[in-house]
Amino acid sequence: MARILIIEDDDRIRASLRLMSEGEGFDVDDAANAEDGLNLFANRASDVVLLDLMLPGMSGYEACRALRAASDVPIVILSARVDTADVVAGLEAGADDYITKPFVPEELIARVRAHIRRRGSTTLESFRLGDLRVVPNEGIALRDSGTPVHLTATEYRLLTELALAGGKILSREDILERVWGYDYFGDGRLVDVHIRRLRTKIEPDPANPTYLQTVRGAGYKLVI
Amino acid sequence: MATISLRRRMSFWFAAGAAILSILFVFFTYFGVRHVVVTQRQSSDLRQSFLNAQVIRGAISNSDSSLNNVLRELDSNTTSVSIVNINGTWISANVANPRTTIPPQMLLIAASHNVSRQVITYNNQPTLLIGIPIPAYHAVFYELDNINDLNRTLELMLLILCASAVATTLAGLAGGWIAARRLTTPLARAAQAAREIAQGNLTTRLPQEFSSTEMAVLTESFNDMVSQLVERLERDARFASDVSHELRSPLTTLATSVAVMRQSRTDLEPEAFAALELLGADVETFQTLVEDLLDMTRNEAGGIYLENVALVELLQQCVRSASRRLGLEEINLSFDPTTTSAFIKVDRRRFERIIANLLENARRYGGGATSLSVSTDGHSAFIDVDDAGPGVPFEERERIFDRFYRGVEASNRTEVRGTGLGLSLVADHIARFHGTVAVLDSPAGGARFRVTVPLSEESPE
Repeated sequence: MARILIIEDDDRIRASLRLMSEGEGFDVDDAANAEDGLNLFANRASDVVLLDLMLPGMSGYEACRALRAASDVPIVILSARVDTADVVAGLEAGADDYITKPFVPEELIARVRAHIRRRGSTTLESFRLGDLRVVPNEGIALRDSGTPVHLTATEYRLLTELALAGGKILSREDILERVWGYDYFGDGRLVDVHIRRLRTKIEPDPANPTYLQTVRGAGYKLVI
Repeated sequence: MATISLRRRMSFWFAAGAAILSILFVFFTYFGVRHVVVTQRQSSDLRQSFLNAQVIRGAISNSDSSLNNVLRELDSNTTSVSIVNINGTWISANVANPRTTIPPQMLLIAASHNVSRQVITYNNQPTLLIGIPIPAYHAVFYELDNINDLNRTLELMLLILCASAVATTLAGLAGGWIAARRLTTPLARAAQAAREIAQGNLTTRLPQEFSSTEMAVLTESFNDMVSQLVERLERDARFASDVSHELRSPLTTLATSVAVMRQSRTDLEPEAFAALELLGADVETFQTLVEDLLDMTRNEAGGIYLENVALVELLQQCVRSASRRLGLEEINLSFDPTTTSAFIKVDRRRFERIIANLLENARRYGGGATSLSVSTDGHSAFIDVDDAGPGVPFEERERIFDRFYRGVEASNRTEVRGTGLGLSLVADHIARFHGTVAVLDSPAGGARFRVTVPLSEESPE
């Protein structure tokens, strides 16, 4: 049974989310602030975290960074802020996904399920990007010098899907579908921010990428 | 009503004032100077004539000398010519017809032993004639002084005065023009600023004006007014945004609770389930309404994120996600191969919303979109969404983009309920990308919604 952690300060939203998630068959932990949420997570890891951005005390952004530092758990931000700057800030704090309030509940559930489902392994055993060796199924990304590169589950998946495409261009939509498992929601910004984050980890010069290339007007491709 | 520009009017009045003043100046100067000059000449001529008369008198008393010779000598020394009438005999060295040259009144005055003077025409020239009686010898001495030079001088003076009057008038005209410009330039600037503000450029202010206290006051009050206006607009926008924002949390709870009830729909009585469906549908409408309202207030507050994006790729993505979200059969986007290299500068989320709303509108009121196409003309991209509905009556084509406006046709159909904001949001969003939206007739019947977006001139990175 998958377990989800809800960190949301509005009591009624939290209660209704809990009811709905339990109705969908998940085990649910919930917290009204970031500190309690982080404690709960430390005691019992969840499979997905639903995180509100505007929290009393520690902000959602900080909570997101703290969670990310401790775990690869998929983090879905729930926020009333929809402007691109806010979305990007949330994703850059390490979140895997972003959904704006008021959301369509069925959509939220579908996204949570997609995050849980995609934990499965891939057919690609390992590949190299210059001096970096990646073994997705074992969660290993290691430089030949012995320095490990820390990638989140979503980043492994993104890199692996691009590697599987064998140098072909993948559109943002293709990527959303293959990496996030989304049929029709999600937006291009999700992909763009993740690509940018991935570049800072694997590219020698993230401003002039040699592996993860943008194809203007088409999407992205991985040049191995 | 025909209006005369301030500039023209001020120039006219300045010129008119200058003209009147200079005409008065010319008049008084000319006649004053003339009076003085003529009087002076007359009195100097008179003095000279008295002296000459003394000489003649001496010549008469001294019968040795020839009067003719004396007269000749007198004439050669001065500019004037002389005539002597002695005992009815006319003697002159240089005047051909002395008898007829002297006007009769002068003869009469002389006869009464009085000095006379008069301006006559002699040899077609203005000439001052002075008659001095010498009663002791029954003689009269006449002297004719050509005063043409004096007249010439006066004429020249008049000419110069008139020329300067014309120059003054022209200067007045120019002065009026310049003064009016000094006055109207800040006014024109204020008018331009007001136009810009009306077009939505709320950061426009008048530059500080130091030319005059009055203009400084006008500028300051104008800028104050704009600031207050902006503040009020912002307050209104903030209010709408706050209200919508406050609605978000309860709406989220409502929507989630409806979802919870739907999870156990099999346990519900049919009536309760029907009621739940009604509730769910309206919660959804409410949700869209709040999102639309928030989008609008956000447009007013800025927060636009413009990106250079590939037109066709973006459109395909928008159509796909909108069709699936709305549960529509996915419609094919038709486009010319050349449009694939076209880029537009838009906020992606808002652009998606435009396409989604147009497809939604076609579904609600036009029986679904029948075709979707995009073309370019080198400057703009044209995105056409056609439907198979009844079309939009001509008189509704503007108002259909007003907030909460529902067409006659649409309000008769109770089974459809939109938020009333969909199309106005389209117009609102597209304006942020300097584009437009309009309703036309589809060639296949029905309505065609045409979105025009300027192509991005920046070359893609």
